[in-house]
Amino acid sequence: MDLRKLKKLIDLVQESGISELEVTEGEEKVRIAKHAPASAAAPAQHYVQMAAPAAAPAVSVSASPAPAAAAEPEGHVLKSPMVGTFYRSNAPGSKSFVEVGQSVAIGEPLCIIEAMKLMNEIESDAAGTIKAILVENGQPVEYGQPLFVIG
Amino acid sequence: MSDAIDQQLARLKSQLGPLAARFDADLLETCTSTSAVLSERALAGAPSGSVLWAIEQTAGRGRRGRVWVARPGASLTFSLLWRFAPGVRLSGLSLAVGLAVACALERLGARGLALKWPNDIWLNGRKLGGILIELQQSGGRTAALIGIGLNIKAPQAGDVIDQPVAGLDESGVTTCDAGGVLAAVLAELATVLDGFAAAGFAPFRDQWQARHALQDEAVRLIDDTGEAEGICRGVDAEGALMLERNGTLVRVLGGDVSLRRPA
Repeated sequence: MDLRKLKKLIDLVQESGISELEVTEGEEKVRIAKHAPASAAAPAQHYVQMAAPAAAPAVSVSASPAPAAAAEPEGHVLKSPMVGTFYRSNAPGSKSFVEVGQSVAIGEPLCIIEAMKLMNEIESDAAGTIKAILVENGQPVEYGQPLFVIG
Repeated sequence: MSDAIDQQLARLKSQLGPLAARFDADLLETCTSTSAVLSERALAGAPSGSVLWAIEQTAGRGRRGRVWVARPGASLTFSLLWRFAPGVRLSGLSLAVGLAVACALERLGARGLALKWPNDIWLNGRKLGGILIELQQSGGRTAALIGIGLNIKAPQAGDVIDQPVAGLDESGVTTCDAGGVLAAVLAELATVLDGFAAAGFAPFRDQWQARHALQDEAVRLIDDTGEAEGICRGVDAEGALMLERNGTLVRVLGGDVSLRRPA
């Protein structure tokens, strides 16, 4: 199943009232489950459980058998240098720093990651074309999480 | 007017005393955003300790595009550039800066100050000041642009304000002179930022907690993904907010926290 399709399914689950979705396609089986706390209206995406230092993602995807290599474009992967919230623009409603297909130079701002009101402008560490943007605006990111593919 | 500016800067220098050597202050009569202007100067190589102070700020930046109102004589608005050595972990920096501002104002005689996570300064439950920190990275080194706005007088009807506000003139301080307040805040920042660079937020945690406005209160947390409720249990050694939800403590790194009003 290609990434775009998977992404669509995840969005579908996220926007819907259902908490779990299972899709079988040939040999691949994908289960998407929403881990929303019972009382919260929206998935709790900012919190990190004390017991597990890694954030519990709002949506978990398990595929079996092991999926074929992800259909992610090849290129240099820019990873998040910190834990925080990912923003594609300076302010809500303003223009995104970059779009897929745009060429970027080293040092060009690509996004902002905010943690505790530290606004961290992340610059491109490679020159090339933005092949993929792997995180949605306003979503939490983990240390080392891939953000952009630059080819 | 430039004479008046020079006089103000000379006064600031004498108020800073021996610390004057650590700061390089500039005063503008009017400025779009002190952080925006200082950011350009930082890229051009301005030294750590550069201060840009503006009497009037026309397009002050708040978090995520919000505005910060600054009228001449009614507020103190400045940005400070601080360069950190490679490898310094900056988690909790915004809380440490808020603490420094509160301590400086307390030294001037202010009473009733509290800190709201991550870095708002409150006076008797109303917002007295705000802080926004932007980071510039280059070659492994980080420069922090620390923007600070304090109300000297509470803003008035007609200003664009979305919450209850307070002015320093209600706090019991011995001086409301913007330059005097700036000197006191810079002096405290020099101490706190040195300590932070050496050991992070952990040594400041107790002092921060002692001023925590919402300790053990029922709060509402709003972020871009939604909203959640819980009991505010203070901060950890990295400055993350500890929110108790259904008996479990969760670490919160972003969003706006506010007192939950009974329905």
